Amino acid sequence: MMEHKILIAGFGGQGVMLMGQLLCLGAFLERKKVLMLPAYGGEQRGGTSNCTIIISDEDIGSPSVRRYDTIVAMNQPSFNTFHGFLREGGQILTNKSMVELPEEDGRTTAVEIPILETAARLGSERAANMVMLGALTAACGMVGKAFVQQAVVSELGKKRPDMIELNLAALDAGYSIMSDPCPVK
Amino acid sequence: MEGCEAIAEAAVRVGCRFFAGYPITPQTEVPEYMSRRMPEVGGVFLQGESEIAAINMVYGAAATGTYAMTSSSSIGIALKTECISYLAAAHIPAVILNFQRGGPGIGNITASQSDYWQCVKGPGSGGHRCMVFSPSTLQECVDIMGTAFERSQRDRNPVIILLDGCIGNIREAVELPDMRPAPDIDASDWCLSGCEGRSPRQLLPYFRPDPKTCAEQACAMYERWQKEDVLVFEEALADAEVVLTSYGTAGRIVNSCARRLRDTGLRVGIIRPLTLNPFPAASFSGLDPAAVKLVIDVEMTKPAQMAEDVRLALNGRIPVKSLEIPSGVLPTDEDIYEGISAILQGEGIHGI
Repeated sequence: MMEHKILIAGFGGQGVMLMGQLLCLGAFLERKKVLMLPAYGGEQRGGTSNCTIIISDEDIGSPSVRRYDTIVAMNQPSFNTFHGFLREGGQILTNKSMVELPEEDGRTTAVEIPILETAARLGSERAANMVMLGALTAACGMVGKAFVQQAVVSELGKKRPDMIELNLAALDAGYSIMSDPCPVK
Repeated sequence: MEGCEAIAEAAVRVGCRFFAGYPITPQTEVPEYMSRRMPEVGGVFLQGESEIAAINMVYGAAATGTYAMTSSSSIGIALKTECISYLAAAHIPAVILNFQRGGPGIGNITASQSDYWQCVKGPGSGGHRCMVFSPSTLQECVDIMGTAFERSQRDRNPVIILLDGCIGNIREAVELPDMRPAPDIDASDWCLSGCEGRSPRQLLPYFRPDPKTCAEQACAMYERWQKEDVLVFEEALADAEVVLTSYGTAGRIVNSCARRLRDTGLRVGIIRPLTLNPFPAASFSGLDPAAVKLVIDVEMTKPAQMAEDVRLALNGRIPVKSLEIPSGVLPTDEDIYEGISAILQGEGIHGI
């Protein structure tokens, strides 16, 4: 059975829930079993925000997860709080400009993703979460990029058709960063 | 879709046209959704000044033959039990959602299964009973909604759907029922619809003219439920040496653990009630004691509650052990797998 457990964590306003929803929709479009459990503080903007996503070939059991296969840390508190929940051999993707990695502990595999710089280079820092979504799509390997692209077009295309080109370019750039042969710290 | 929203939308689609609620985590998204959805379908949404007010509003709306629903969580349901008893006494249908939270007292907002006794055994004073549904996945919640309203209307008796904070908050893909144009149950022979041309009716929770007949009719209904209305998920019972039983969120976790246990060579069967009242007693009494060494009951509450009905159904023929997850803790797959493994090892059944 193939099953992948993901945590995306950050603060409200970074697009944590949106990333989760788009990855789930991509997985659904690829006919995978998928579950998302959101958790957030009282604030929509600025409060803590995280979501668990489980993508599987079979029916999914508990939404509560002991060890994650992949963790996305969008800010320092998220990294500090959750990196201990990574399974051995799992991977953490960090928002490079906001997360300072600790000294090498030989256990955690962290990949720093320059999401803000990449998004700014493409046209707007607001697409930073799409860069991370692309990197996450490549890292988890459970959902084809084409299905996540389809999810982005269907969900974001309606609201901001003028932004769709940027969002897709950001998604693509994030996916490519993870394809770089040596980003691992 | 998010759990609360999918469940609310399913209710709308099967004909619910009145919803009264009061905020409490983890179900506030249900009234929130209904507050914008009901006006779109010509229904009515009302926020009561309390849980008690909300269910009394349901009493009034349902008395007109309208499909009416309310929802709350554990302590909120405790407040509603007064009127649930009134509904049963006055023979008024209604659907009540209980998104269980940890308890006792105010407890916490994490998923729990500590209201089994409350909802199955005593949903109010006076010794009445409600049909209680216990779906495990969001799809089952959505699928069960039409049956819940139909049976409530058929019996003119309140129905409870026992859920929890996990089901309410998860997002899963669901296939919603088609939109029904209007409820197809004719309530014209009992509901309050204006008495022009006929004598006035009253739907009151007291002044029963003949207590003996009323009690006998209620008992006949409960017996009919047991014969005709049990819903249960059964899997791999034919050659099972161990049977796992659970409901709701614990049920979906147990399903997943059963697959892992079978990979170790253990022959595992599953009995997962979809109705807790009527309880699927026949599924348990039909187990062969020569083949099944142990029934393991898994519940997200301590002490276990459903275990009493499992033991009653088995009548001492097969031993029962409970894996009790304290109320307010959402267990992982590993927690349940390791807990079941420890019980099996303790009983000398299977070394894992």
